[in-house]
Amino acid sequence: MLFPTITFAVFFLAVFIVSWLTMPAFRLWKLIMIAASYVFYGAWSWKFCLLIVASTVLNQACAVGVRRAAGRARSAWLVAALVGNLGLLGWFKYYGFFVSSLEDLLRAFGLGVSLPLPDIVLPVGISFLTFRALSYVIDVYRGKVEPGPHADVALYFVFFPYMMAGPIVRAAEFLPQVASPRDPRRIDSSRAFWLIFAGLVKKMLIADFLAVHLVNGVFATPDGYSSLEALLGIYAYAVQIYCDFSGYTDMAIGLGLLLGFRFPDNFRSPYAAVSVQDFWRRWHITLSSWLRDYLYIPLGGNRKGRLRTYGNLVVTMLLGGLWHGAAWTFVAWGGLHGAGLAVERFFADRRKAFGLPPAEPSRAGIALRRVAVFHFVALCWVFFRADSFTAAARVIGRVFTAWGAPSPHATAAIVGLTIAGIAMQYVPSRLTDGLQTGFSRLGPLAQGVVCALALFLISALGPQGPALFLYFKF
Amino acid sequence: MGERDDHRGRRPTGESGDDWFDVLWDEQEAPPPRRDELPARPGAARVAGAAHSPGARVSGPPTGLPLAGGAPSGQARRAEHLPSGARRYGRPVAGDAVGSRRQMPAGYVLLALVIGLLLAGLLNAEGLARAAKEQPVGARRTVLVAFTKPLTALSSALRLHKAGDLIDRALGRERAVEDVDVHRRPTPGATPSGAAQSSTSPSPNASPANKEPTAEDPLVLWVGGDSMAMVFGESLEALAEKTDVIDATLDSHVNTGLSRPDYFDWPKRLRAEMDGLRPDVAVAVFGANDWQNVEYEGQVLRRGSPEWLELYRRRTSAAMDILVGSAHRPVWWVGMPVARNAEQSAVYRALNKIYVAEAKKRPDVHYVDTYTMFCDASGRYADYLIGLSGQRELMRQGDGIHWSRAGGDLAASAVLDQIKKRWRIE
Repeated sequence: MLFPTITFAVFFLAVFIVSWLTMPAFRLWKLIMIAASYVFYGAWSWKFCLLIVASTVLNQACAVGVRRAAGRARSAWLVAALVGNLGLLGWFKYYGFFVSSLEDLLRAFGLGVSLPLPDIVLPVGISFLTFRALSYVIDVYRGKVEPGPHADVALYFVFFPYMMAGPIVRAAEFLPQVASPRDPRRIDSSRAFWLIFAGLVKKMLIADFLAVHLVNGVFATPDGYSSLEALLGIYAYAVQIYCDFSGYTDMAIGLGLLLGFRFPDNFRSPYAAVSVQDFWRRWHITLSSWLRDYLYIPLGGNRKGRLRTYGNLVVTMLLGGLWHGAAWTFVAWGGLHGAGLAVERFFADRRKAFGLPPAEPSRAGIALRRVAVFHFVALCWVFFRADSFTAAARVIGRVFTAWGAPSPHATAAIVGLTIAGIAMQYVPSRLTDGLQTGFSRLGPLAQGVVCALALFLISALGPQGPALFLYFKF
Repeated sequence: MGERDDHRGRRPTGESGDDWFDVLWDEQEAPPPRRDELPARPGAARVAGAAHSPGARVSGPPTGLPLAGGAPSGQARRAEHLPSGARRYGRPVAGDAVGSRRQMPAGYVLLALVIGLLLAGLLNAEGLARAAKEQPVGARRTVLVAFTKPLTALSSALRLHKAGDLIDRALGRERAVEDVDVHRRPTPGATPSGAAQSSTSPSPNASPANKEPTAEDPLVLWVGGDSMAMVFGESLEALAEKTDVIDATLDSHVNTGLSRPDYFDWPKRLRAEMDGLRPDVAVAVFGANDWQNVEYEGQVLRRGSPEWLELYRRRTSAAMDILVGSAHRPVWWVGMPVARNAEQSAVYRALNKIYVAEAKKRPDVHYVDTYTMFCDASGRYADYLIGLSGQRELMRQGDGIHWSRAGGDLAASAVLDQIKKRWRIE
């Protein structure tokens, strides 16, 4: 069940009504929300609902075990959770990748072996589920959160707004919100509607258009495009992936708000970043903070010396890249970002070593940094999007080899939407806050009319057909 | 869009102490502040804080869909009128900052939602009716069609449908034939797709079969079909490009097929493509979505029934005839590959049987058997097979039907080899 569909609109309307009607009967509400979330996930595959149930039971058992046990037994419960969750993810997502990579490696040593490669279906959302589950048990282990009641944890694992593609909501953020009923008199609906419509615009009017009319073609057959089109295709993909993914999480956060829940922000104008480090404070924030708290810091963070810090940054980002997909191109994408972070860190360390204060660039300097960081990020996206290193090299190579060729695909619509996708990073939040405040002061009839016009315009201007989200496959 | 940021190159508001990749941390040290512990934005404290002081619990009405609660003028009054003993609601989390936004009671939100959806439905009634009719024939479709009928009538009576027409006209598009994935390169002399020309008009390339392709006068190849044609077509385009004498154009439309011309009129599309592009060779892939009930002359034909199979045969036959055209254009018809799901595989075998039978009747149509091509040595479905690289590669996407890049390359290479052989291209 995809968000921008009539089926989901009907489903959500029913859930909204039942949710608020049953809120006073709070235990019943929880059961209904769990059931609704399983219906949502089951619309994709009922079979894998059992997997979610199994994951919930395993992780709740481990969390309770960690809480009750002492000494080595505590660690044993934690290890069980780590092995269980990573084993599950490894089997479904990485088995084929590891086996085929191992075969390649053995072949390089003259050992032509054929290892078993069963056909494995990747359950949608399993990567996000694994991160939620790990953060829950590890936070219990660290004493940051108490094991929740079974029904609360069951809902945390499967809650439909974020189930498929995030944001990665942590137990410490979610469980307090189901400890007692949500207040039906205070719904931040103006922000919710804003996020939902912003998400729809990003996804249906920008991301899908750019994908269909330029990006897919440039990445499939770069030699059929001019240098200008190839360059525009790279920019357009940067905009497409931002609009696609942030559009989804905007909608997820908005839907959560309508049900009375607050999820953490996942994007903060990432293409306005002034450094790679800054980019990762703004892009997929719930993932980058997860990587920081559960990977970078346990690896030693910056406590083990300069070289180790650089190494930790690279390792964290390499694994972050691998999380996105079982392919070496994703690893390369993560590696490039890791290297970018390490290089920035190196220069910052050098400044410190020479007793210089942190750089305070002028406005022009900031603008230059933004342009440079955007281009670095866009270049990295080429490896993220391409099917292989050869394909990535062909796209990049095309930027330099066909200037002067006709560019019929560089249409005003493509250029305009690409610029719009970048320019929207600079829309001041006080402006959008003002719009939301203005909207919130309208009566329900006027709000309904505004929503109807927005919905109509999006559906009339957007493409027909299903709107699949890129991040579903991660 | 309007995400929190100061846009002056500084850290986002509230993050001054939260250095994402620069945190000195150990077991004893306090963790960095979480987002829900961050200070609320200016203004939030006054509004949200007044109602939601930390630790305070907010009492509320016993019903779940109150129509009061957030309206600006009545907050204090409502607080006085809350029923005693009403159940208590959860303390808002620290991130509950809403600035100066007014929060709404659930009843108002529901009202806005219902009005919004209904009015949007009226404005876009024709689109909804079209979407309903495009559903697979069955109970769900019947209900949706019944629901959209009065909506369309009301929209028409109120003349609200004009808004959609205006937008379509402004964009110069025909809603029923919406491009979904088209990589089209300009071909010299080609007329725009969809140009109203006779499908029987003679092609200037009177004998594509006798053409000697060169870089200046390349072999024009059209590849198209449903979602199966997408990755396959991209692979074929890329491989064809390497020959320097084949100019390929892809036209694939997800969720379409030959069994539902009421949803996507492939015969019309094929005529327009053949007349507009005038390709020397055509490659088609269909079948991924075709196994569904269809409505024909007022009757519902159940998928797989003799009547359904006969209708599908006729539609396949018509599509092949359009592709071949009066120029006797050589056509490669790519069959459906084996699927991970056994029932799906059985469906594809049934469809392939029709493609094979119809191709045999036409000397210009060559059937490409991808079913066995994508079976392993034991004749079963396999995710991994030996690809063009000579190594085992992942051949399918997660659904066990659509090709991955390696799978698309393998299938496209098989087709291209035959085309190159036919035109003696090195």
